[in-house]
Amino acid sequence: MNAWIPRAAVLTAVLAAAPATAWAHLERPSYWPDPKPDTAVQPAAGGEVPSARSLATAVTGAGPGRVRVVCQRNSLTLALRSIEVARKDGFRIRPSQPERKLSRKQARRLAAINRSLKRRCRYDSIQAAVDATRNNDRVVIMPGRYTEPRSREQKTNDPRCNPSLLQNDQTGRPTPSYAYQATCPNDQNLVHVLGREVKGQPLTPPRGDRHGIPEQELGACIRCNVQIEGSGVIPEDVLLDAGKDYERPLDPQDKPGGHAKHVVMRTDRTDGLVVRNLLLRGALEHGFYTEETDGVLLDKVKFFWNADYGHLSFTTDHNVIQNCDAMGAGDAGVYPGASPQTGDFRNEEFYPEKRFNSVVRWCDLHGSTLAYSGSMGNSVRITENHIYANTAGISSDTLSAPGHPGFPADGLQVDHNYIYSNNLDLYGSNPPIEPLVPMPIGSGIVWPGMNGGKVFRNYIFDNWRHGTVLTAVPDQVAGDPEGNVDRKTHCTNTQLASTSCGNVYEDNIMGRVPPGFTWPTAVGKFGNRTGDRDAKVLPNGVDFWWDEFPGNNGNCWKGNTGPDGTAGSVTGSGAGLAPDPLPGDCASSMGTGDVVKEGVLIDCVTWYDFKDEGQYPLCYWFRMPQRPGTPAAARDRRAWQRTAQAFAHSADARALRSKLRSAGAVDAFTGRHG
Amino acid sequence: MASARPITAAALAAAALGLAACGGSGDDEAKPLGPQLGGSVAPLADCGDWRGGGKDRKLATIEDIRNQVNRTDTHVTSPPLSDEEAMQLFDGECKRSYARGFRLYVLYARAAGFAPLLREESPFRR
Repeated sequence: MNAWIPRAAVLTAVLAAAPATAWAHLERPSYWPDPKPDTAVQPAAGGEVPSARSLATAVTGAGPGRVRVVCQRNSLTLALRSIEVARKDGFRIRPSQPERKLSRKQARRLAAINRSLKRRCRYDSIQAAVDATRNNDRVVIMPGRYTEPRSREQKTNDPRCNPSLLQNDQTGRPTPSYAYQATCPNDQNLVHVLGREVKGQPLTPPRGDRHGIPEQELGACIRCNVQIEGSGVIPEDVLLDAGKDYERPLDPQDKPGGHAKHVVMRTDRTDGLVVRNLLLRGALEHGFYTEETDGVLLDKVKFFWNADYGHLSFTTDHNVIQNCDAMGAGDAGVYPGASPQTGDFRNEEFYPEKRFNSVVRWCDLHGSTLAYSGSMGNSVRITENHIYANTAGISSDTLSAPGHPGFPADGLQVDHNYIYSNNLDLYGSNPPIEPLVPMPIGSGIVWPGMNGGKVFRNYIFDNWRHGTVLTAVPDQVAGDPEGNVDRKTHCTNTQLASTSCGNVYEDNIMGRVPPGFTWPTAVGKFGNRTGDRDAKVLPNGVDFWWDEFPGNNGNCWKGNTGPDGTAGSVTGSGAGLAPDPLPGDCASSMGTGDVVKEGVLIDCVTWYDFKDEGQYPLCYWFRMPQRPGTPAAARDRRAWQRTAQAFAHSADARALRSKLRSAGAVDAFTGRHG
Repeated sequence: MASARPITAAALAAAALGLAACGGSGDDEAKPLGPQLGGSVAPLADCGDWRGGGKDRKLATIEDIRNQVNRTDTHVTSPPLSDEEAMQLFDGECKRSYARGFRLYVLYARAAGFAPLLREESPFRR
């Protein structure tokens, strides 16, 4: 119990705060890059997602650009062995995909390319090859485990840069500047790619409008249109490793006992970058990290055992992550944060067309606290992925964490994914992954504060607590947005909140296994639990949980089907006491409040522990849920209903209702739960 | 917008520049908890770091995190937590065994935005 205020005030106060789960991170003052191509280089850099050049063209000498090859003494042996295995036994790029084999012709060709690359190899350090790279050049890395000893020798908080190249934000607090990364590239990073020259000084204070990197600090391209790739069969063949103290360092799945660097590969302002066919492992923070970049393609890239994020892109445009595989992240496998506001309420002079600026597709995101996260994840599309065996699957939030332009988050689209069996309990003793954030175990999608989002045509099944969660982040929580925010929001009633409006859940198939579905073996990794893998029906705990926050408009659920194949078997809007209908008509949908659900959020997110007083153990997020449909789950539900009834008639609940009404939500909780 | 809280010069210097270290116990106590990175412990300090700290170092940690989280360069303001509020927040949340790896700035950022609501006066802004 908080000591500085009375209990009733706590209840009232934290009501709005409940969904404010901040899984953001700290950045230098950061700007969205100009989305137009930079024609000062030829071909132009940025302006679109770059296309990958084939590996075969790396040995023709045709260009454009020079090719630098990095190898180790046994790289060719490793390459030929991998090719042989792929030819005879087969290989997988992602755990959910079927095994395939190289044809004899493909094997011969790839072997010939690797022999040619070996002859051209002049580098044993990726960083050294990158440093020599200029616009349009390529770095090809032959099979092996690359620990980059020279990078590891570089000091963290190098006195050459710290504190002299720290950049003050508007309040005068230090963050590493662009020049810091340029001058001390391996202070934090195993490999660093600097895309543009350092020019001028960063604006002090930073410009409020984050559209475009300020002219005075935007240098010319020096490493734009660069491609960095592995030459093996699968990403695991080329392992960039920031970890240490492994039991089996050559096993790509092995967990590090420690970390030598904060980031495996960081890139800044690297317009037109392609990275593919390699594995990034073992960072104290992030596997891949790019900032202020226009045009990035990550293809066939894996992110294993990076303690914070596997992938992190920030204020980055024309951004595609595909054919990826992420596991072992303490926060999220993939995180496109502060993505540009290219949606409904964009600056149309800067972004003439409404479009997705980032796409995550064809990935396996599993074995992490979260598969996907992204504070201010504007206009991102998540499509055709397998999202499984995490504590929770997708989360995108509007919490105005420092340095995240783009309030409020809107326009995220989640379509045509398989989202299943996200039941990984990391909140027990000795978790296999150290969780850095609190999440409700057993949830498919959690949206605290999304606007104008779409969830459609997904299979969502076997998530034992929630298929999806939608909650408001009232403005008191998000902060006081000014300046660089959307000129309007999807919420028409902003008395309490300008987030969690206009979200559509349509044509999803809930609680049923797709026809012909094959379970990836990784679904059971780290003890993750699933239902009967031979079953065709695997319900979620509840399909759609909505907090029904007072005044939230435009949220609707239509065309979804449940375990029996009809709309009638869809469950929602969550564990309240009333019938809890899910609005089907977007135009008329309006939240009226549910005091029990708000109590749950309060208890879970603020650790306001009702249990201490023996009254309302409302929070269930951090307890492993029972498998839906079992007697144990039924017992849990009955116990929950008793708790909810007790809370609904308590003084705390009355105070909660009263406060919301006094704040302007005149209809809040009317007729609900006593 | 709430104004920044008064802070001690020693804590600020320690938090911002990571200079507090050697010497007398006073300097040592003012060093924030957790690994410093780029001038601040805020990006990495977690509940595990918090549990091992004395009061003065906890206050220095709060100051460092406050200065990072409550910055205004985004033009999105969030009122800071007082020392007392932040201390209670971290002490309360970090005591849970599973919270060992939780980043303190994450916990702070979540709480800071709604701090005014936790106080008696005018919980709703509008």
